[in-house]
Amino acid sequence: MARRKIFFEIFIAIIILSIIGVAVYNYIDRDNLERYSRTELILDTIFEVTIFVDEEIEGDPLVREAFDKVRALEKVMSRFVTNSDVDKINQQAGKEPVEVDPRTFYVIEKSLYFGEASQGKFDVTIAPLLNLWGFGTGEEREPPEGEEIEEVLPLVDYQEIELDEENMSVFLPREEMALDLGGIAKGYIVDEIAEFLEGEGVEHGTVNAGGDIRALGTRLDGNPWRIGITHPRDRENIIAVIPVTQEAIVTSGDYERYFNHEGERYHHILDPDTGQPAGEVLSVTVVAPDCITADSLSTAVFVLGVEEGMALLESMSQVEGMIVDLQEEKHVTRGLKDLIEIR
Amino acid sequence: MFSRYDFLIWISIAILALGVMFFNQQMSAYSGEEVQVSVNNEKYGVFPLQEDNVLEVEGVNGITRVEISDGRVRVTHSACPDKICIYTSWIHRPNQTIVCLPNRVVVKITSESQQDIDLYTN
Repeated sequence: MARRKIFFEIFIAIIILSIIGVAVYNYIDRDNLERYSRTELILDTIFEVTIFVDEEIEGDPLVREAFDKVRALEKVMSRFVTNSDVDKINQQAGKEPVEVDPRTFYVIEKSLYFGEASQGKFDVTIAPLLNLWGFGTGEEREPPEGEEIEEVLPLVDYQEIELDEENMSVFLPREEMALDLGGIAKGYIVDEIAEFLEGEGVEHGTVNAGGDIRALGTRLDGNPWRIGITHPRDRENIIAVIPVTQEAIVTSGDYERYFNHEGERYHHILDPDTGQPAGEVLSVTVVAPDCITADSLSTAVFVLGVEEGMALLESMSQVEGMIVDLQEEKHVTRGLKDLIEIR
Repeated sequence: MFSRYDFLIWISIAILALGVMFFNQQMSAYSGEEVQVSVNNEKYGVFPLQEDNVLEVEGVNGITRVEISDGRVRVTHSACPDKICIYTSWIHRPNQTIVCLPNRVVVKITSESQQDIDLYTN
């Protein structure tokens, strides 16, 4: 009897001590890491950096430095910034090769890789078509005539881009050709910022360029970051949740940038083969180790459509994704099926 | 092993610890959801999500009208060519945003507590 009582008391004591332990741990853990976050309208989107760091790292200057880097990269890669690498390449099209920043060279090289992988559906020489439609120029109005599109289509061909690695130069052989890195540079810049922050010792955080997201580590509680995929036809709600850890995730949708004309909606993801907005799916989400991959593949798969798009996603290692088709049916890659929460 | 008084002391320590845990939890679960509005990267104002309100936000091109109603937010009028901000329609979850790029207006729902969804990808 006495022995039983002692066991009971030890049992109670252990419970009490663990409650105290958990309370103390919770308290200490909470105060350990500080959250720093900054949001700016830049790169023609809303760019947000959030980091969780201990007091040894000064969060505010770090986040500010991250945005300085974004601005610097925008200056190099935006075609709307005078004298950027891309602007110079476009100005010198048909005239002479332009020596560029190694980072611009890398992004263009990558864009050719994704062009090949998608049978040309991802094409960074799409700028003349975008101009014709008025996307990216701020004056979006009525759709162009079929004839006008036919005239511009031959200018769109990424295979004609001439890269010279020795001289770090880029050349567009025909005068009216033009580059637009809009479908890939954002992803690259997100990667650059994420890697910069990691190099500074940041273990938990997120870099988010208008839905082009790269997660650093996990959430503070050790669980994966939970990313809500906006419903393509009911934007107040989400269609799925995808947990990610140390990965990038990007969604391309037909509702992001578009204009209406006589009851028709024209969105900005153009098929380089037809010159028309791609019309087979509503949205594509891609999860990949880096954002440059997720960014360009989400556009490529959007244009490819369900069948070929799924095949491309399944063929690439460490890449997963979801396609929402016109019937709002969700197609999920094998590796993502057990992780995704469909809503 | 324990006298009755020891036991009481231990129990009160445990209750105190539970109290601290509960307080911490309450603090982090405190919803306090707010609507943060910024113009051209500058803070414009912070408004409670649960108080109905209509804001006339002066953007770089003109007025963006923001309506807060029944714990939801939307943009009903905007001095911009594409009206993407209006088509975005209602948002109601923390971390959701409405962006008007041309008028440089950002509307975001914020909350101090850990949310089910950390970020949204459109």
